[in-house]
Amino acid sequence: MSWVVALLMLAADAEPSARANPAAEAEIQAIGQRLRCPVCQGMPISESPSEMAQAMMARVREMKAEGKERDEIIAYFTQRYGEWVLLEPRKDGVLILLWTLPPVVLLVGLFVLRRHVRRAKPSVAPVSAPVAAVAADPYLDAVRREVEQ
Amino acid sequence: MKWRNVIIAALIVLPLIGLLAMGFGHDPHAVPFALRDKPAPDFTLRTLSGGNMKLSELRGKPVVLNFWASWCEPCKYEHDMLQQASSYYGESVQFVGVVYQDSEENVRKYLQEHASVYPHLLDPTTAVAIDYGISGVPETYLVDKEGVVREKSPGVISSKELRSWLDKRVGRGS
Amino acid sequence: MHSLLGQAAVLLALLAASFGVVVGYVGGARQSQRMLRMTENAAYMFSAAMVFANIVMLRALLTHDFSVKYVAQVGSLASPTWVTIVSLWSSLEGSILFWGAILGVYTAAFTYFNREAYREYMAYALGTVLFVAAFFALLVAGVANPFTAMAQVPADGPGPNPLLQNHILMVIHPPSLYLGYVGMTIPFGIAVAALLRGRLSEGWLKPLRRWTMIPWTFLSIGIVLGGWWAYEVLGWGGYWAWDPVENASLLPWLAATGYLHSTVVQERRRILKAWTLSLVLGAFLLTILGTFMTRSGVFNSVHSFTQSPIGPVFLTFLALVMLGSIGLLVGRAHLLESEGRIEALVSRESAFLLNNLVFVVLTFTVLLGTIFPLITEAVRGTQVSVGEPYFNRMAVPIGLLMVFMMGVGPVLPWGKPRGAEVLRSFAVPVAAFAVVIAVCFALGVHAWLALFTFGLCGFAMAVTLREMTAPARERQKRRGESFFKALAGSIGANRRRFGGYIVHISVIIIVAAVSASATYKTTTEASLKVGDSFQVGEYTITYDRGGLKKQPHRDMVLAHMTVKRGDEVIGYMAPALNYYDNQREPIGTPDVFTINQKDLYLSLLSIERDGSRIGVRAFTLPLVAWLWYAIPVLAAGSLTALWPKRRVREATVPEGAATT
Repeated sequence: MSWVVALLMLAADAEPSARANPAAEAEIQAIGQRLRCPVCQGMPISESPSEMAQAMMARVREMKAEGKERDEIIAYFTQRYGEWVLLEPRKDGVLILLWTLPPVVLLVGLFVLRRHVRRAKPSVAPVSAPVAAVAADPYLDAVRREVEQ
Repeated sequence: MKWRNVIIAALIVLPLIGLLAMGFGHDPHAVPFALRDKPAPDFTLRTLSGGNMKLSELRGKPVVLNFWASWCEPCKYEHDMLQQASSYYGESVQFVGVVYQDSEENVRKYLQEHASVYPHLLDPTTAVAIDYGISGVPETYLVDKEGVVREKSPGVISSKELRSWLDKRVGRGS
Repeated sequence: MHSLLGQAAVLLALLAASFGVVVGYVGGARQSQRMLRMTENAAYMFSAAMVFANIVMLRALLTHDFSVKYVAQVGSLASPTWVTIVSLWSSLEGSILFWGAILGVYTAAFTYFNREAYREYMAYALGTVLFVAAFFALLVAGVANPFTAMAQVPADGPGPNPLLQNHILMVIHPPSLYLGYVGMTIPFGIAVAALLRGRLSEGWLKPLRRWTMIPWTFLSIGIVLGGWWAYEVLGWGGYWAWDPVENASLLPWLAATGYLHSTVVQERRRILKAWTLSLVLGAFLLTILGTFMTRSGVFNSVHSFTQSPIGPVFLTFLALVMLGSIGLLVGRAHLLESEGRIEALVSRESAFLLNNLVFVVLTFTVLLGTIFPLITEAVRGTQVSVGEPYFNRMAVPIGLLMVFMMGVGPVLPWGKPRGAEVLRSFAVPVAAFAVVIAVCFALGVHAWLALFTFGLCGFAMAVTLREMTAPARERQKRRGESFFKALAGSIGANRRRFGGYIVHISVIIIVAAVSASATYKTTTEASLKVGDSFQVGEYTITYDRGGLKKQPHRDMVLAHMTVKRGDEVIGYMAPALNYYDNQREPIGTPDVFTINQKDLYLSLLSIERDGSRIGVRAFTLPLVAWLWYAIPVLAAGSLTALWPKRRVREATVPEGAATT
């Protein structure tokens, strides 16, 4: 257990007990948010309570204190753990599909939907029943119809 | 209309099933080996016997880096094999143990009971483990004599695997 | 004794189910009443045998009969009784056995409630349900057999996975999820029966809706409870991480929700029959896919059980069911042609279509993100991760679109609405949108995304409330009843619609809670000695002392903290770390304190053995509690929709009689 303390002391020595600079801390959290914890799987290191994740956060802090930028820090971890460590995948190669397919499906769907409605439109007489409303307020009339149904 | 639907459906289903089937092939908990054929991250760490050890000063012969901890059962399992291997290769290969997230006290106690022929380094901030992309212990790396990381074995390493790493790099043991 | 009895029961279940499949399909093809009766009996037999097998296992667990393999794996003399009961579903084999029991209960209930009705379809439907049942019985009898006798009987067992015995929610969260998952088998059976018959009568739609609504409700509750469990146990101050297993539960939910909407249009306008059935089949397929993800070890996940031999068997089943469903859909689609038409682009029908599109796109996106790591690995051999940032970025706009549609849909009339009238009826909701934004801005919410989300929630809420009360007000006017009497009357006249709106309210609450807690989450970390304090927002938190609570199955190390606002003590908290014998890394029990709709959440990261020093992480999260408040609202809505009308029986009998 005492090495945990050693780790904590180290962290504590580096900074006062509650972390001081909120802007820098926010940036550190934002970086940690993007990196995947290797021991717990699927969770960012900024959130995981595991010791490994805490050690990695300590490293992020250290690098930040050395004046490294976000990209450099992320590159450092990518060199060690591969692209696997990035919780938000890049946008190159096959990965483009990951980002573009959902909007494409949405657009295709919209197109099909639009065509479906338009094709149905020229039908001479509406097949199903009560559409023509003559009441003063069509909205309330619709409500009324639904109440009565 | 009908055939178009069949084709679209097949195009979705078959690759999906294929992908899932392929998924069985690998361990979902494996973290990639990104340092392969990259220069080994250098470090200077305190050894258990006192004094420091710097990785780059070991250049000239292959180094086997074994990350371990006394709380880790599989690490204990491979301990004896590593001792034998180190004796077998003698001066031609440097074996180094790196202690991962463990206390000096526990490691000392363990090594009193289970003698070790090679040095063990303390990594109190886990910094070196992160440098190498460790995702748990045991993990074993091979750094060749030029200081390039060549191999990684996540989990317990077998003597066969270790030999396949070393035999081609050194003349048989002294 | 347990081992033998359990295996016998499982074999009996397998036999009964297999027999039911054959008799059901043959009986369905011949429309034979006698064979239908035999299928029904097979269904009852399967249910009884499966439930009995579970009782045997439960008894083996409670009596610590370590000669049974599963008990030796997950049992422990030290476990409290509730943990022992939970261990029935806490590990792979047991969870599949438990799955079988739930399927048994569903099957029996489905058979019983329709014993006089829908004769034309029931044999096919039961045959299909029993096909799924036979598969699970086969798993339990074969690759995932929990009843195997141990050659050497151990004196004690290790107990279940510590993570899963850490919170009382484990008693209700997995069963609720299973009830949702397993229940999707029934609508699947109904849909397949409709396809096999090649026609979907109005009468057969009724049980389809009802039997989808039931598992849908359990699934919804199970998903939220899962978030609650994660929040209370995992210690990272969150409730949803887009973990593959969470996605696995979300996927069938999305498909089923899409179905619940499309069925409204289909009923009203006689369109989208094939589409509606596809969604039902899809929901079931996604539950199987989800179970495969959870149980096979293909996906990385906090919950994933260890690698197991059931993967290939499951995959084969998945492939079979998928190809069968598609074959059926393609082969029979021409029999399910639309009878009605859509007349205008701006109409309730179109809104429902758009809603369905949005649900399908979200389902697709979540599925794509979940399996994409497998794709990159296959295509270029590298491992990538698709995590929270991706899903949030994709799901947030789609989710907002859903909330928007939730407000737009109900306002648009069916058929061919007139532009001006429609515009006028949007005046109040749009005003609500603006007012909510203005009020939130005044209250200090300045993040634009949160503002916009709250505004949309206000918009949808205004529409929903108006839709709920408008029929009552209309009734009040026309019949001169009191408002509440009119409200009760209008609910009674259309429970499903009203229930749907109540569910909408719960969803709006959830969206607002998610938005607020995600936008205004704060994290503070501190390392404290006894007596040290740190500041979290307006609160000062002091570490008083460490404490140890020895429990039979674990040691609980607590950090006692005092929470102050200014000089006033407002509460005491004690986050803890639990040390289990069978695991090195401790598992935390965070402590949550809700004040002014805001959660103060403390997670203990580390503690010196003598308690002299701790590492702690503090989160503040506004409105998280609303997520849990939404559960009863959602349940109330579903119950309202499900509550049987008195005339249901009379309505179904002639249908059954006419078709026999």
